[in-house]
Amino acid sequence: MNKFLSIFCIGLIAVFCSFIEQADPYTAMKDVAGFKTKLNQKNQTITSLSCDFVQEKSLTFMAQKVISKGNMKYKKPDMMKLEYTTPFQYIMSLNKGKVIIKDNGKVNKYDAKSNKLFKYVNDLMIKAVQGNVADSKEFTIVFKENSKNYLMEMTPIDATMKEYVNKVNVHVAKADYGVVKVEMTEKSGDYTLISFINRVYNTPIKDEEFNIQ
Amino acid sequence: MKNLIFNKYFYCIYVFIFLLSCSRNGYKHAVVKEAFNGHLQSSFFKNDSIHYFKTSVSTYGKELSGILAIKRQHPDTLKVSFFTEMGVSFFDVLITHDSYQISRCIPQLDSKAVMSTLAEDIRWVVLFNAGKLHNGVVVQPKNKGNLVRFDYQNEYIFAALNEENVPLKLDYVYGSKFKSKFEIRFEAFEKQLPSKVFVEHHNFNMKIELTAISFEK
Repeated sequence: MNKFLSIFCIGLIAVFCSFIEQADPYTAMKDVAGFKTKLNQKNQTITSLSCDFVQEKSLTFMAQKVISKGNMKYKKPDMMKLEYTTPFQYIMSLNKGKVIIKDNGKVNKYDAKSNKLFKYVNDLMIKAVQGNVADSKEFTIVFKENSKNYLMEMTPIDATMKEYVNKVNVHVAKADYGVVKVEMTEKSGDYTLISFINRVYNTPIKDEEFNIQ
Repeated sequence: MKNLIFNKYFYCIYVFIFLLSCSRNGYKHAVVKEAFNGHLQSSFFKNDSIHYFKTSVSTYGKELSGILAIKRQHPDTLKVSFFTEMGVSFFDVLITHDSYQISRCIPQLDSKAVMSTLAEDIRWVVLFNAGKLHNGVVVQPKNKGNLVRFDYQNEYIFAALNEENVPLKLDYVYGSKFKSKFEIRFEAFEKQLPSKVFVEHHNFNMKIELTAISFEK
């Protein structure tokens, strides 16, 4: 009986939380210039970031969502490593214009510039993690906010890129101006939502971390 | 004189390689032993409506990797999505028993040759085209254990099965020389489900490696 009661309570809390989320909708940002200034100031102070991430990918074609997890490391100015740990092992490292992928024990290196999509995703991820997208000329941006977060709704200008990504939403915490969520929506309506948790800024990270062997 | 010996030497090597390639699989002279009265068994879709595979496709030195999601909509209809580890979609496709319908596809993969090959491979990997295999007979190729040979659209499928008739290997064989078009190996079984599947094409350079994964529910 207790077990059923626990399940019922958890369900109730989940419904309540989703209600709270819906009850806190984003509206137009009141002070865009102030937000840009403070975001820029925050970016100036960031030298590194370590965090865990949870990635939710919707599959509208199958009416399904899949969740993968891992950790991320970022070091100024252009090094970033995404390491997926669950349910598969996969590492993608962006290191000074190179994309290094470790998959199934094999390491492959690519020049980010050799592939337009690689370069696009590469630049986008680094800028998004930095929060350094507010003045981007590659997107039209709508600025919004709710009680907890700021939101930059970014639409790519490049028609080719729209084939892959229709919209990118970057959520920035009001508390510390750190990026908490990046949501990429595709033309079909499928989205990939990456939430960054346990964020730790400015701890020393060696360059070797980004050289995948 | 030196040239003649040199040419003969290479001619011998060529003939040796040619003969080796013709007799490689030993299927042509396989001895038919008896009729196969069983049915191919599959544990795909028994407990899960969707199967996910970490998938890598390599062809002519190029490699593509991502997550392949396969959902059975009807007994012989599959909904398939392939997307990168970071979530960007490659394609969504509906695969029926004899055709496929692309819902969306990135331009780099959107060709009839690529998509029809992938659709056919996926159909073989999880459904074995079981409804279209007929006249099964137990055969013994030269220097090999028993296999089951099925007729498939005027060609042959040679299947290595375990005791429960679950396929361990399928070899698609065609023509009077019994050449192999492609083979599929099912390995690392857990609860009758293979956690590794390898597809290798012989007519062109293409290999697909699938590793079963489970996303949390």
